Amino acid sequence: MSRLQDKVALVTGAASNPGLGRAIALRFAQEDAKLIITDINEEGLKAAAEDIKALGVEVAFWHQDVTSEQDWLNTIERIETQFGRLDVLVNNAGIAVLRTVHDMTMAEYDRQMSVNMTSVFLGSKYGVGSMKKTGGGSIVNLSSVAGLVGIPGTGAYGASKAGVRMLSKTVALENARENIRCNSIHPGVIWTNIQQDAIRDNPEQYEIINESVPMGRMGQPEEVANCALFLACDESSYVTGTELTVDGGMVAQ
Amino acid sequence: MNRLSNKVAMVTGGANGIGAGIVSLFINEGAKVVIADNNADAGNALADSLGEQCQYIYLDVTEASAWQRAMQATEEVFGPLDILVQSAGISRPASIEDASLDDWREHMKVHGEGAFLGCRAAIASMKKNHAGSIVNISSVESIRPGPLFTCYGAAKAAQDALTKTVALHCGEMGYDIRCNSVHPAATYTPLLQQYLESAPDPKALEKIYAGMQPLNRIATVEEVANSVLFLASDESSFMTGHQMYVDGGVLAKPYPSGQGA
Repeated sequence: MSRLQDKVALVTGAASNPGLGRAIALRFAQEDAKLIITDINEEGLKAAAEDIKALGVEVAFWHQDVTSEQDWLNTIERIETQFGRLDVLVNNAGIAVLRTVHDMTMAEYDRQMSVNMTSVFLGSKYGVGSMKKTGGGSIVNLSSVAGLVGIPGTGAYGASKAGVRMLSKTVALENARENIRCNSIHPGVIWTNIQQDAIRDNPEQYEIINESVPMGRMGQPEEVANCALFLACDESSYVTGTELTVDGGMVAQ
Repeated sequence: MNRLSNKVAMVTGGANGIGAGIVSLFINEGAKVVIADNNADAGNALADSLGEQCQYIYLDVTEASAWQRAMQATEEVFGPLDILVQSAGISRPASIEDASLDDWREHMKVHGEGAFLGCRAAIASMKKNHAGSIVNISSVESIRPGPLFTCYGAAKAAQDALTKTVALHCGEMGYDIRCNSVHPAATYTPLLQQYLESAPDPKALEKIYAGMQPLNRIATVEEVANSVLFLASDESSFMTGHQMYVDGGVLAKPYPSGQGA
């Protein structure tokens, strides 16, 4: 039996390629989840949906701005109408505005917090509401190693990701007796489109970054996707309110 | 069903409790498994019930020479090691005023020295395949020990630090050997069952234990074993030096989990 057989899963921020949301959606598809993927990048989303369909899995792909409460209401309602339930919610959508705190504008700060943290608040609020109706579920929030340790130059990114970590714990404790689990994943340096863009601008950073990781390399999106799968499926039925650090040993140093 | 196919695994303390659950799950996932335990009767019985892919080998985790013999025997039977799960352990709850120096030394010996010897032996064997995964079974008591876990909490914390140094060393050396720890809370082992049944009202005591957990129940052995499987398998290929809690949310809470626990 597949590990997500009969589960309805929503993955936000699934358009970027290579990206974590897309990799997670593809991994879930391999385990026979019923998938809904969302993003504001409709072109990328359509491409992700085509990759998923190529695996022979049905997927709904909808426009969703995760910072909009109305979009969350619409998305959850549409899932309940079309799929009857929500079992797994992966709050993956996020951005990285990388500036020092001193250089960051108020508008950049607001946008960083809104996309990375307010989105998880809204997703948890409406996700929990839906999961309670059907007897439980699993919420997986994408945080970062920047939510565990301080990293200069990340401005409000680290604060937003630390906020995601603590929201996860609160949601876990508030809903433990409703059979809703909630955990956070903390990737280190992963070879995503964001990372690729950064290396294109500063190619000399490639080896420096690899050497900063105890395992001597960046991670692949698929390696994060496997962690999301573990937390999403019933194998992690006693895991809630905790973190999975997928960082090649970075924060163990 | 094949998440560990062709992998050679050794599970210390594999004859009983959580270790035995890990052994069974690993066999189901296609691994060749050595039960390394000092309880020959239970170890042989479990190995016999699981077929050719499972072998019992005697191991006292505190003896360097026993590790050498067990690892050599494992390589002869199945080949170099891919996975080591260190599940052997003891626990004798006592406050700092009641615990004896012998209690302290014995806990340190089994959890500290045992894990030290195990990691050394495992790395030597895993280097032959240029890859491997070590999973050390720790406890929530290493992170937030209750007052009666004087010796156990300290010994598990020592083991946790070893987990991280092993992870960092292997990374630095360029070995593809990962090392992580799993931290269960109260788990429904035969030992816990025995303890519950010894109470005047076992159901009431279980309810108290369950009530300490946010999920309002005690973990099953399978739930802990599933997490160990994840860390042992290639699915966790970018995870090392991580402490994985399988605790029903206990460590996310701001207050102690309950009387004595």
